[in-house]
Amino acid sequence: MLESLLGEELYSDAVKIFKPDKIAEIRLRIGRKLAVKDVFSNRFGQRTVTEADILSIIKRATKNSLYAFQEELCKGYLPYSGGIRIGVAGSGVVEKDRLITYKNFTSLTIRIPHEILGAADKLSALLNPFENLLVVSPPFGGKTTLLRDIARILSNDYDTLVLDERGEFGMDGAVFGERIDFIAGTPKTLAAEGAIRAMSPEVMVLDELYPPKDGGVLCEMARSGIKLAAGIHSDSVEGALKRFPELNELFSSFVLLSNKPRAGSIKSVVRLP
Amino acid sequence: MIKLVLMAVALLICVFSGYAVEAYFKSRSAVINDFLAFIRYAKRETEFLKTDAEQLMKNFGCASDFSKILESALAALREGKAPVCAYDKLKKNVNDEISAFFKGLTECDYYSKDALFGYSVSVAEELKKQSDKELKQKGELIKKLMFLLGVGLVVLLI
Repeated sequence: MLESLLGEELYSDAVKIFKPDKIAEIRLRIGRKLAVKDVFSNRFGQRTVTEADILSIIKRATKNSLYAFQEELCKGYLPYSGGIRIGVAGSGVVEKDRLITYKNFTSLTIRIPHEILGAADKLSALLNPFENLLVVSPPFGGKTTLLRDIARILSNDYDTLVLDERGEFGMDGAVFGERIDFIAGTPKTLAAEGAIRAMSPEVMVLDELYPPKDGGVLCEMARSGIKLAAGIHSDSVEGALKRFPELNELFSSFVLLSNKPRAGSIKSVVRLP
Repeated sequence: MIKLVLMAVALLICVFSGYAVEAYFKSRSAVINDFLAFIRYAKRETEFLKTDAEQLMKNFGCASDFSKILESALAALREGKAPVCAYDKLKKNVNDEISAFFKGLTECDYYSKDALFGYSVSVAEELKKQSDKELKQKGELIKKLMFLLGVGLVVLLI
C-alpha cells in the first residue's frame, strides 16, 4: 500500500530506516531529506525530496483526479486507501474569507495507521458497562489507534457505528466485532442525522471532534440516547474541558494519551462522578 | 469465360474498396462521437459522484475503437505515464485534442474542471461536425465513385 503511494525510490529509502510495519509517519518537504518516524523516533533518509516526488504522490493519492478531492483538500488532507492520510501544505487559495483549495504543494505528511489489538484492554472497566468516553491526546498520541480498538471491543456487544470522516478507521484487514457499521468520508455534521434515524446505533465512534462545529451534533446524539466514544486533540483533559465546557456534560470518562515515551501511552484516566 | 471472371473480380474489388473507404470514415466518425459522449458522461459523473478519472475510463462503455483508446490511456495512467491518444485512423489534431482532454481531466481541480468540460465539449462538437461532413462528402462519395469505376471497367472489358 505504502509502496504504491510513495513509488519505488522513496519507498526503498524509507524502509532502509524502519521496517515497513514500524513506519508511523513520513514527511516530505521539497529540497529536504525524507523524514521517517516510528512510534519512538524521527530519522532522515538519504534522498532529497523533489517537487516531482510530491506531485506524483498527489497524483497517486487522488488517482489522477484532484477534482474529486476538493472537500478534503480544503481541510488540508488527502485520504488514501488503507486508512492512510496525507496532510498537505502549500499555497492556499482563498476566496471571500474561505479557503477553497491548495496549490503549489511543498510538503506532505503521510500518516500510516496501525492496528494494535488490545490497545484498549486496559480500559475494559470503562467499556462494560459503557458510558460516554472521550480520548484526549496531542497529535501523534495514538488516539485513532485506541479508538479503533475501542470500536472493535464495543462492536462485539453493541450496534456500533463509526463516523469515519477521514477514512482512517477502516484500514485494510482491521478486525472489528460483528456489530460494526461505517459511514466514511462524510463530515459528522452531515452524516449524523441520517445515521441516528436510519442506522439506530447504540454506540457511535467519532474521531477528531471540534466542538464549535460538531457540538450540535454531539448534543443530538446524546439526546437520542446513543453512547459516544470520541477523540479530541488536547494535551490535557482540563485544557480540553476549559476550552470546550460542553464536553463536561456529554462525557463521563476521559482517557488522556501521551506520545511519550511512545505514541499510545495512557497518561491518565478520569471518571466524573 | 476469362473475361467474365475478370469483370466480376474488377467489380468486386472496386465495390469492396469503396466500402472499405466508407468504413474508414465511419469508424473515425464513431470514435469522435464516442469521444463527445465520453466528455458528457465524465461531466455528469464528476459533478454528482466525483468519480475519479480511472473509474470513468474503466466504466465508459462504447462500441467504437474509442474503447481501445480509453484502455491504453488507462494503462498509461496506471503506469504513472501521461495518457496519450495515438489512434492511426484519426488526424493528428484530433489525437491531440483527445490527449489534451485526458491530460486536463487528470490534472484539473474542482474549480477548473468546468472550464475543461465546457471547452472540450465545444471542440468535440466541432470535430464531430467535420467528421460527419467528411463521412458524407468523402466516404459516401468515394464508395459511389468506386462502384461506378467497377461498372466502367466492366463496360471497358465488354
